[in-house]
Amino acid sequence: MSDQGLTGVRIRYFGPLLDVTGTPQETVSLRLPDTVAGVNRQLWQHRPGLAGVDYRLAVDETLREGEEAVATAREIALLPPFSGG
Amino acid sequence: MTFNAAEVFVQGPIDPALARECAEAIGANPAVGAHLLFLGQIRADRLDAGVVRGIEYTAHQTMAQGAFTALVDRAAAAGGLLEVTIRHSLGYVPVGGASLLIAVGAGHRDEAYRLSRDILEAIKKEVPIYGREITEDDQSRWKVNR
Repeated sequence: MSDQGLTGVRIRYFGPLLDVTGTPQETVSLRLPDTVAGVNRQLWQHRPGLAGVDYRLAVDETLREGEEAVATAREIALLPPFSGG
Repeated sequence: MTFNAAEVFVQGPIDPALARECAEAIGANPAVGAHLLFLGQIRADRLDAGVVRGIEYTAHQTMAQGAFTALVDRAAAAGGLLEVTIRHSLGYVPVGGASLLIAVGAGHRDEAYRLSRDILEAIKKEVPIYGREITEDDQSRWKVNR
């Protein structure tokens, strides 16, 4: 799973992000541990269209913020503002 | 009171007959003095892209189930909630179809109105569900909650 500090993480995209990425999910090699902000920067390198888009990040189904550490992750979900109801 | 978040999502429009089933189930609790039923229905909004014919719903389903459980637990902890049923659509719901049902049973009307509104607002803010509005000529726009 880990190769020179890289971990394959399942990235899931929701709502308007589907239009940005064109796919609901993919596996991305991330360098972990990192902060949430750092993970975002890694994702923006992989998908430049994500930079500047409004979304929150859920690591293994828990919402996480800016400088919180992400030690490991099996799944990261990118969640734009919700629009249910 | 029992609430099972795994039962919330239904494919397509919510069957209006469920409203009657909720009334009967909530009515079976002798402590209930007030039922309140909320049904959210798809509107034929006029967008720049055209007139809406329906909404396609998607969700992070497992996170959504956790969020539904958390918001019901919070409503119950605040007091007064005796019975609750929530249903939300996934997939396509045409104009006129119901996409959200909230049925609450409480002792008194003030509690029922407050609980129904609190649960509705929490669903809109806290549950990872997404709606894509689709127009009559198949243009689409991601819905934004106000």
